[in-house]
Amino acid sequence: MQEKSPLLKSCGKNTSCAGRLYATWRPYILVAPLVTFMGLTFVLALGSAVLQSLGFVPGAAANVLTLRFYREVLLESDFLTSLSYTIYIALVATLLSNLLGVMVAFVMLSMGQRPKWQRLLYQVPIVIPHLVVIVLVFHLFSQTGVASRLAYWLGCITHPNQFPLLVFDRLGIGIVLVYLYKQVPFATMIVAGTLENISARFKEVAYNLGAGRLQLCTQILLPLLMPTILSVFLITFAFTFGAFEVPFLIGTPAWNTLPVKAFFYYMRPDLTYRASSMVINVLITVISLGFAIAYGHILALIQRQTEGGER
Amino acid sequence: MRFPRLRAIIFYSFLFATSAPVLSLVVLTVSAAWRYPSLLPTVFSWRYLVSVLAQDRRTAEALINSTLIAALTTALTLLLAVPAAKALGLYQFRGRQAVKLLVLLPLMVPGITVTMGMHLTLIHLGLAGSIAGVVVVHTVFTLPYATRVLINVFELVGEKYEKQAAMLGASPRMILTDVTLPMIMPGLLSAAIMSFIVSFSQYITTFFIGGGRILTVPLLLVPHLQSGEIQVAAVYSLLFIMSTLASIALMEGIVRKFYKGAYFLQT
Repeated sequence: MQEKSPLLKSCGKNTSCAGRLYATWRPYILVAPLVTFMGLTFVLALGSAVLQSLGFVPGAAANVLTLRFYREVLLESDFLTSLSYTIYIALVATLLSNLLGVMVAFVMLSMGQRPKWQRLLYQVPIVIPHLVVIVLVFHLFSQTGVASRLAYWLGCITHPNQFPLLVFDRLGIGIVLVYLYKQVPFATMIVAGTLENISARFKEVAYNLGAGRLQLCTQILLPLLMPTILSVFLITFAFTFGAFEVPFLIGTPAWNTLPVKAFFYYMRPDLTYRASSMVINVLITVISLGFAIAYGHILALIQRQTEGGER
Repeated sequence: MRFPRLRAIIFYSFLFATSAPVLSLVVLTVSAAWRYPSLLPTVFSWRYLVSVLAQDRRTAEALINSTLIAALTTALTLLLAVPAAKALGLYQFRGRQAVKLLVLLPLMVPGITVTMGMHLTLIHLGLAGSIAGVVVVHTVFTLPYATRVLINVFELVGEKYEKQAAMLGASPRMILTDVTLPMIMPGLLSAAIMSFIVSFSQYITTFFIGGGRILTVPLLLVPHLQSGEIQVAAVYSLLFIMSTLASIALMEGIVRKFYKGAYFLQT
């Protein structure tokens, strides 16, 4: 227990000397193991990725500092395709899951406190891993899946081939479905928590001042909810943008998302391709971090505006 | 808001969409044949369940590995996160924001980048292909979640009870076991559960760092998914969900047993 160090005890009642010294250093002692661990793993990993992207690949032929691999990767014909495909999937999945999540959160708020089993039931997808959700989507939406069978019984199709390709498809519908199953409940859970809080504080005041229901929602609840929605948006976007497993397992064979592309480069026997792989890794990291920084600025802007409005 | 019926339809179809797929998964595990237009399996049998769970030896190996790795990851995560979260939640110090950012950053950086970046280091350290290496990599991804929850808990609980106990003459050990731990137990439990689930669900990290030598449940599942053996994949999925739920229940049970009197259990 770091509460009382030997230092503090040796100081006795006069805690002004070593006691103060210890009080200054205590936070650093407490965070030291975590920071050391993160430094040796995460920071070192990013450093290693950058170095390898610049051509320092141990075991590969030439080890000179070069931007060659950046040029090669960026000039590749399908790089832009991969980049836009990755952004497209992340945007569609994130926008849809946030939209639906916010909608369900508002519906839940208006329906009053739900019983515990219902709240547990809708949070089931949050603990189910993506791999299992892929199995589910495959089972429900492949051409011989449950949805296709339902369409058959409803008379919409007469043969499984007529069912639209929703898994391994070029539009990435299967991928988006996996993310929706995971992320709509996540967005609902986070947004509903904040929404209940805000509503409890401002609903009566707003009604007393003569606001209508619509005004309450658009003028008070939504603006105050914005930081939460943005956080959820950012977390889900960053995740889908950098995710590997889902596009790898049920994405189209026609083209790859950037993380999948990085994986295939890395797995090639020729080690020089590791540099190309790391170039892609560095690029997706930079894009993700760029989003995080932009998010910080937007959040600050919104908070300044709402504060200004309150005055 | 008006339209009560519309709202009910939206809410209940949402509930249906989250739960029905899991039920269909259970049906899938006991179906031996499911010819095309039929909505229910044409032949029911335990065949897949038995062959995967009882006859395939790798299943037990994978389950033991998965559980061991997740338990070790959870332990390492809490060991690193609890003191750090205390400092970040209770004290103002120079560099606090930087440390906070460092811990949360793995949520923003693609997992595959971190994994590939660590691959070489772990090979040099001789940790690639070992349980220890896999635990280290998983911990990078569980730390942000655990630390975030624990920071909130420490901010909420504050330091006043510990100080009071110290003033009343409690030893540092007593303060830890009788004051700090019971107070932060709810957060500790959810941090542990989250770490366990995140570690249990890892696929590509285990694939890379385990180097094919460490077999876990996700590593068994994926090849069957790729070859389209959906029933086998469904059995592994069910095993996956069940063992996660069992572990959560076990952790909650242990906490309840040892902290029966803790204040949070009544709330």
